[in-house]
Amino acid sequence: MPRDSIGLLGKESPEDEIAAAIDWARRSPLHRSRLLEYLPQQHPLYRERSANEVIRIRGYLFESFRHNGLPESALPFVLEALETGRSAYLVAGAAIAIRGLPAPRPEIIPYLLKAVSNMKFEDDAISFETYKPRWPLTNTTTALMEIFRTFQWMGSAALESVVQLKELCLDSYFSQDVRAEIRKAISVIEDGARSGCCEWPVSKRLRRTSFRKRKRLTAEIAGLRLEDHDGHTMTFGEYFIDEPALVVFFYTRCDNPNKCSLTITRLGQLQKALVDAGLEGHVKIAAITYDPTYDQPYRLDSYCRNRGMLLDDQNRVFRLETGTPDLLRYFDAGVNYIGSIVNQHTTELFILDRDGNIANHFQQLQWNVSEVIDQLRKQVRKRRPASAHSVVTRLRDLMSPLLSLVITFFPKCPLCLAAYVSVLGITNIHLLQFAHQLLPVFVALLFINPLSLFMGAERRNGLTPFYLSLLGAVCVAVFGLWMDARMLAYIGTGLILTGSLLNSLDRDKFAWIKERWLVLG
Amino acid sequence: MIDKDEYIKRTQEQVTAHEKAIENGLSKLRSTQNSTEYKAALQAIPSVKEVEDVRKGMQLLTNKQEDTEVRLLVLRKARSAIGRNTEYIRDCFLIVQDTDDQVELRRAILSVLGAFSFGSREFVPLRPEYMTLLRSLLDDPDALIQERAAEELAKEKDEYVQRRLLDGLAGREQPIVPTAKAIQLLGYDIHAEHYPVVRKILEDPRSDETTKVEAIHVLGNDAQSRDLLTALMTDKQQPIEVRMTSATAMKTSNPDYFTHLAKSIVLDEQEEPDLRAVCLNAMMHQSDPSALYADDDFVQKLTKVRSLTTSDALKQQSTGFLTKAMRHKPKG
Amino acid sequence: MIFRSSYTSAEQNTLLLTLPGDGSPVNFFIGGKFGSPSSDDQDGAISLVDSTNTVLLQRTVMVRVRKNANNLTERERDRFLDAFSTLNASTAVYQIFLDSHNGPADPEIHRRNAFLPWHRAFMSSFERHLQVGFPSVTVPYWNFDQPSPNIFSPDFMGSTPNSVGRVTFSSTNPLRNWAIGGVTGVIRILSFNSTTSGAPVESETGTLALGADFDSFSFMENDPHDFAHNSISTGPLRSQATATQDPLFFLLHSNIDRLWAKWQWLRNRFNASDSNSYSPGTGARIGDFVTDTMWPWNGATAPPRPPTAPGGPLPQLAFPSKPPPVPTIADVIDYIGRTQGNSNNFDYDDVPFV
Repeated sequence: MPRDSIGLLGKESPEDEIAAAIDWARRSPLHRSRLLEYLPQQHPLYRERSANEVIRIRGYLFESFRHNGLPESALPFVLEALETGRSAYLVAGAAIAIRGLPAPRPEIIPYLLKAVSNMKFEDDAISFETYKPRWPLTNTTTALMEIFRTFQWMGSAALESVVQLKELCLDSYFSQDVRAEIRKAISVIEDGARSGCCEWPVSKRLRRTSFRKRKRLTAEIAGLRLEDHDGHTMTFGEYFIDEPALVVFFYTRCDNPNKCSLTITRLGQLQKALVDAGLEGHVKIAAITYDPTYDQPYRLDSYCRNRGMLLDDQNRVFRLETGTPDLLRYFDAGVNYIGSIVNQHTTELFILDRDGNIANHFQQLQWNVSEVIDQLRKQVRKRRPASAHSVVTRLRDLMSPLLSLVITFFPKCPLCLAAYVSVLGITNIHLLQFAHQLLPVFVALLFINPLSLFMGAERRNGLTPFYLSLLGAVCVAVFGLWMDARMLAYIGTGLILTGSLLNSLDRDKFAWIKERWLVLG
Repeated sequence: MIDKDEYIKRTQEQVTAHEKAIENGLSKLRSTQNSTEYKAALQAIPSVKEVEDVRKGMQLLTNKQEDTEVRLLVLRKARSAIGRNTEYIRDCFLIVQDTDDQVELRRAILSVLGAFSFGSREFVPLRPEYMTLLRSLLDDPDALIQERAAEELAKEKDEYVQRRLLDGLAGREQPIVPTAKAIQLLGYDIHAEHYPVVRKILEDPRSDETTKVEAIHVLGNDAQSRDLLTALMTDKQQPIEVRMTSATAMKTSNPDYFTHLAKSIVLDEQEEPDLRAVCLNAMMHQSDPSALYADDDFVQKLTKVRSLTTSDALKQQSTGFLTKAMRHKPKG
Repeated sequence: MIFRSSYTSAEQNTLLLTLPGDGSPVNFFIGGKFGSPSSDDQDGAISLVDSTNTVLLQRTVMVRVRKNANNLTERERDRFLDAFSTLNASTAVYQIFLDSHNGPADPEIHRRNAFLPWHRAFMSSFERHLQVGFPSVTVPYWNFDQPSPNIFSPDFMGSTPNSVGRVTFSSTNPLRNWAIGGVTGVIRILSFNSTTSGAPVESETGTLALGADFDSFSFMENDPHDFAHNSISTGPLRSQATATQDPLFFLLHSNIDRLWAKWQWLRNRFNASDSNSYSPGTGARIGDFVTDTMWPWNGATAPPRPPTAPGGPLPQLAFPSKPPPVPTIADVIDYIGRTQGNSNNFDYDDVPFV
């Protein structure tokens, strides 16, 4: 398999070629990152493939991360499979992928437990030894077995799940083999806890929001014609401009109750929460079908009402007579098709601002009602400017990022202040008459910033910021002090500041930058 | 007129008699001296549920040397109890897998396993083994066992059986079931990838009527098949069942377009009466037929159709349509 | 029709009422006469006559009960099929029944003692949805241990199928329009000859003889229920995940419910607080206990319930009746209304009131 072609897989690629690419990347961890682009469900790789074919590819892809490490950016996709998956192959692949993380994380536990619940009556024999095996197979595993093996790998990080595991152990719906794996997991977890190994930080909830998909509404999209559950038609712009809105996608022929059925059910719950939050009437809600040919208005109406969703002028469900592909492209929605039928899709929710622009996006995992309400409240509170292009507006728009920049770089502790002062001192030492006496202090303080980044690497964004800052400190010390090459020292200053900036970003943004600009190969 | 008291008395007597029959049957079953007596006792008893009786029966069921009829009787009479015992269910798996064992028994057990998968608690943890068993049976020497296994897997939307069925349809390997059956089984999963190959089969003039009908049922979901279905529906050379099935598929997938076609067929005196009746039938069972009922021109013409036709089916459907149209007419 | 002067007094074909003359009302009770149900809407009547036999008031009624599907008149059959097809083909309501009786719903509705009460509520829900557009319709039952040639005909549930199991409907049968998720038609091969024999399941008598207490009787989920489904050798009705894709499902379950109703009548099991009438069984969990509300009508989606609850509350009749919008198991035990106010307003043609 030529290494270039791993990045060239598409809808025409035969499955064997895809599997070969995955196998090749599995043997060569440096190329693991090339597989990441195939994780989003909307990738052309999945076009015109059956649902089962997509599951085969994704399950095999997930499983490969066990061998070459599970990158942070892949984690939401894997967790999504655990949270909503009903295919044993996909869920097993996801459970195995978790073991590719650098270290266990307690926040994974709820997803593993949900996967147990999903698989309890759907478990099946599977194998990852070869792709598309020919049955009968003798050496198989099952999704439940793999989930509980992941619990074993979690060790003491899964301590909070022991009570539930003990209950599961008594459940006669699990086979003897599965119960043996549960008992083993309990034993490993409790042994790990007793030995005092490892302090686990309080599990943080995985963040699901992303501002990555901010997008301005185009005239083309604004002009698309929607038909609602009552058969009324209007353009996208007519419905979505003027008030903040929330958009989800679904279809009535979805056979996974953890996805579309649950999305609409939760939308009904969200509507009630909006009333409690005092946002009723200030926000529009829209559910749009992926399947406009089959999902005629009467089907949409029945499906949504029967799941508790209120339908009225502010809360509608739509189909598009034409233009669904354009709309989905605009939203970059996580869906793909075989012919006109959906073959797979993710669970996601979009927040639109008053102008119909995409402002925020909850992706991959089940959105949290209070987080959604918070984002909607922010949009409701935003005033629309008198003229979008006024200088005042522009300045105001710039204020926010500028302020953020100042806050980022403003030293937040005395040590960091000392570090920054030392950097400035060393690089501009020629301007300071008495600074030479303070040189050793400057040098000592110079390395405080990289040291603090190293100590917080696990909690924050890993070692990359530390490496940059360290390199910067070395540049400043070597070029600024020893070689007196001030320009090169300024480069070192830039590296230190870049390391600080990267460390201050939230994980999603950092992951995006890292994947786009920092990953080699 | 039913005499209630007599009815009560009769029902109670029947139940009492049944309870006695089981008691007597068990007593006979436990006192049999040879296999002929055992067989007769087993035939007479309604069911066997007691632990020891079932255990004895299972010894016979798992004995390949035993008379097949006895083994079948044990299965029939003790099946409820077998389904509540994990070990016995596994014994059944082994018998089905054994291609050297009696095919009649293997078929019967495979069928009973389907019932266990429906409602037996003890069956749930064995699901992975059951699915493995079914996949292995796709290559069984008995065609009926192959087909039954394929159907069970297809209903579960199993990826392996879909692969095998598609390979068979595409000629990449020996088919495990006939073409029409393969199409039908793939239809259990609307998200499968059978549409292009099924379309091709439907377009092939060599395909028989049964195959065409199965293909049409499945292609109602396929947006690219609209023109093909239209052609079949309107082609007077096609067998009538093909045309009627196309009409129903069109109505499901493209209701507005179907209505437009159906109206002209219904009013065409040269058309097949059964097809015209099916079109009217479909028109009456749409999401919103009110526009149709309000089409005075069509209603008038249909009235004439009803008076002229000699077909009972067409007359009945026309009457039904006109009655509903009358009910939908605004009053006053 | 029959009349009673009080809820528990003896039934009479005519009732003599003495009115006080001061305008205050006198209560009496009416019911259908066992063995004489209606076959058409409003084909029964009550007449109020005075002492000189002058008719003061006449009111038509329908004694609407669930009947043996094999014995329906043509009109009864066609009305039912029209209603059924409307639910499936004309509205999207049938989707509720597909979504609440499928693979993901299985743990909630099968393999537990709540199986019978849940399916009774499910049948009520289905029947009431039919009655929205067709008030005179009930769900007939397939008496599966008896020959039923009229059911398996082109004008009803479909004729003898072809080699791949495709049943044929006559051109006038509304079930011609049957479609599930865009796939049309019905697949069904019976493993027995329906003209000459019943399905190979536990007989009705054998079912009634399963035991005097609910725990013993609950084995009927296995046989005849599972084996009735299994008597279909080819087709969606065989499998739990796909069973509601065959319209015969509801006739099968109407019979399951009838067998329970008959057992209740035979053993006098209408008291929800009596464990012989209903017991949650061993290993009971939420949804098994007599005061538990039932999914999906209760909208409960927290584990161990399924993740969504399609359909909303149970449809209600035009007058106050049980089961309520959010039914408990207790609400469906005394379906016949032995205690006043409990009636679920359905009956079977072969299960008397007393």
